[in-house]
Amino acid sequence: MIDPEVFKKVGYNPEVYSGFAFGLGIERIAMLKYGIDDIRLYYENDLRFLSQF
Amino acid sequence: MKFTIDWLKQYVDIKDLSPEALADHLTMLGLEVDSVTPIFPELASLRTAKVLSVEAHPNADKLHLCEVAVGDETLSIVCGAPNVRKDLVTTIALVGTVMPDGTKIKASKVRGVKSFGMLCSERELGLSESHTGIMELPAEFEHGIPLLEALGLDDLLVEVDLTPNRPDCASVIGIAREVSGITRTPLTLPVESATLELSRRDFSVDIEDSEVCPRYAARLIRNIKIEQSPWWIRKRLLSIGQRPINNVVDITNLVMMEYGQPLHAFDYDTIEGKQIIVRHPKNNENTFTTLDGEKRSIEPDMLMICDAKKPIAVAGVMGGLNSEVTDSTTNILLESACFGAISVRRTARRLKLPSEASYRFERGVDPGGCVTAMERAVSLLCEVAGGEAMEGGIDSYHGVRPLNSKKLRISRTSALLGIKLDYDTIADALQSIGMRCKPKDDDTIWVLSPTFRIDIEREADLVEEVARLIGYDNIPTSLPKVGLSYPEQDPKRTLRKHTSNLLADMGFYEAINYSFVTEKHCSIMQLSENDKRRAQVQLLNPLSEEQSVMRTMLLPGLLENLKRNINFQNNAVKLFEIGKVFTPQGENEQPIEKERLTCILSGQRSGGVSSLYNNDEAVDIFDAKGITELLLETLRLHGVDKNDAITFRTPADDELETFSEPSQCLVLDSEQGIVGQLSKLTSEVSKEFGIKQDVFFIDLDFELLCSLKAAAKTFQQLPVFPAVKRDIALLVPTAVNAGDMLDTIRTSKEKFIENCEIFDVYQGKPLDDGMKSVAVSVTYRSPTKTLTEKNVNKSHTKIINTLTSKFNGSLREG
Repeated sequence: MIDPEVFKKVGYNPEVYSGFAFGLGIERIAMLKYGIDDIRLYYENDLRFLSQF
Repeated sequence: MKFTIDWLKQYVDIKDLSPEALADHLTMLGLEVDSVTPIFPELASLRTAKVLSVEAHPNADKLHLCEVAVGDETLSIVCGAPNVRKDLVTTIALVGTVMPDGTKIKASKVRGVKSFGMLCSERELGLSESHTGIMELPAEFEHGIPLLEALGLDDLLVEVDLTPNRPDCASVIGIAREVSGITRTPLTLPVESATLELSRRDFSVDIEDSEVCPRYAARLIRNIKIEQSPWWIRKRLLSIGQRPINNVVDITNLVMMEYGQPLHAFDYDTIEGKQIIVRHPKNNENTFTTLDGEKRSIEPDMLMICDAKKPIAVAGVMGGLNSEVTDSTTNILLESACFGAISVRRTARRLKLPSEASYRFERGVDPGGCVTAMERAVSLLCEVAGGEAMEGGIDSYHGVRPLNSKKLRISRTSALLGIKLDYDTIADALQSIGMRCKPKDDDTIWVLSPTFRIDIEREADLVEEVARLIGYDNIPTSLPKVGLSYPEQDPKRTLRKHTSNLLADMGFYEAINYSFVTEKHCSIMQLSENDKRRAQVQLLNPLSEEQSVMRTMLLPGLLENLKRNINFQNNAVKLFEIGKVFTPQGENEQPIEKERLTCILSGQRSGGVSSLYNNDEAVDIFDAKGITELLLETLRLHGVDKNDAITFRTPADDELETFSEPSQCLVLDSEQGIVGQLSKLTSEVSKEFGIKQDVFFIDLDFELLCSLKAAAKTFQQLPVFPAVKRDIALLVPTAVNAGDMLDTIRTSKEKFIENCEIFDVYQGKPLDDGMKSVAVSVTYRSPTKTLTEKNVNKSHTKIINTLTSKFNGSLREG
């Protein structure tokens, strides 16, 4: 859950607003889906990698 | 944080909870259990053994022949230990055992006598440094049972990955408190709480700054006898992977693990002036030797424990060699203090000295627990090390803030957790972990948290405790109600997607490079000294020199990608990247981020695969131009009508990029300024990247491109009357741009011109040097009539005349 201090910092009244914050790196989801074992491959721009998708 | 199940049971009844169930409970309480593993797995196959008889070895003075009972078996063993004797209970590694150092015990002949196993010393088992003889176990121990069971080491180690807000759980008792909340069984503590009689006059404590040392308590214990700790203390330390040292040090470590309060014992006789001063180093105090023997440089803002003359410890991090407890120590001053988290963290980081003590101080130590933990250590020192505790001590706690009750609203708690709660449920949960609750009114509870819960600061923290204790699993799952609406699409994003798809369809792959690049890119690209792209945003704390600034161009990254692919034998490369470049602004301003689209093309056009019907050739500037035209036509920014948003032209001298080949470069112009360029990379720059083949690039300001207005699609009436096509072949000097010729035809005043295009360019024999032939096909059509030969000839002749005079050309005959 979002810390009330965070709401205050961005000008929301934490007495009125509450919320959840979560996120997943898109690279990691794709790693699971396609069985990619090295996250650095995404940024090497190797055609042998790129041409698989 | 590490503890064992057996150790935990010392303070709390875990009832019928299995270790796995306990681990699950703790994890659900927010104390994530990393692992539950048996301790000393490498000793699992050792057995206890009893020596039945000892005889001298016939061929060796120092060796003995022993008959050893291991349960029902009697084995012949050759042993060299001086302490082997009849009726000794010890431990044996049977044939097949792999020792902690990796050696495998085999049946062997020792000086001609067979031996079926090995009797072991404590050092061989990794239990202590003792190697003067084989391990001596109490005579009442049964033989033939697993050694771990006999020693009480058949225990499970639990490792908890603590979140930084729970320093109170960096102790076995802290974990036990949580477990007592689960099982609702009371805690059994060696010392519940203690106070200190403040009556000592023979030593003093002064704290310079109570902000960084809220509390400092000390007691004097005399007549200590330093020796090895009893087995139960060593066992505790060994079971969590700590090396026992001597009784005093072991007791301070044991109590730290129990209570989470780091303790330090000074040799009282080394303390000059019998004064403890907690202060920062003086100007001349630049180095300090810690008890590990390392001489370290200390800085003015590090907190030191000093005597009347000199520093004797780095506060909260490590003691000093000059006041260390040694074998000859008899009187000790025991310190139990609370130091500021930030101060300890900084000091430990800078000295590169993370310790169990600094781990706890960095997270926060309960200022209310100093004296209790000290009392526990004092009673152990008296019991185990023969010490005599002097009455009273010193406890300076000027920096300890009083505790305040906090308000917790039942309605707010219910609303945040999404379940209906009442006073009893909330109070019951909070009281199970030592909080005190008192109703204020119908909706509000006063909650007083114990001193060790230094993380509880606000109502939200109490709500979190309630959620944790009720159990996240017990909060029902429901999906949020969300209204369905079609979100507005960001046009730039749509265009980006459109562009990527188009380029991918044309055989390009999309590249993503890091925004952090090397500073060297600017000079590798040979940017001029006053090029704006030389101003780069510098990273404050770069991972490496290769990633020290933010990029101002996409091209260098793509060229590195090209080089990489060539290295892996992929010479035909078409890559594009749509990404941001960063321009620094004033000191306190955010850099400007602009999106660019950059493409590179190099190598064979069809990826090096020759088709059946034509040879695969290397890409050239017309590939770059064609791709750009196709992209812009699809986006309806070029090639649509006479009022194209983007037009191509050759660059003026000051517009030419330093890395562009002057003869193969086009500028894309718009009313709002230059959109970008397409060109061949100069071979000098290619070489800088180690690329030997030709490289072409397209580099566009994607934001400007997106902001241009695309031509609307309007229906053109289908022509009713036939068109007439005429060709012209003109000889012109090679310097003439064929495109200019087309523009001249298109913009001429002649009526009926519908279209014109180049269909051939030729240079070489039999033409003169410096001349080329450009063949243009012109289409004429009238919307109102069928054109006659006469109509067309008139226009066509005029166009030929205009072209020949304007471009200094002549009609090519034949």
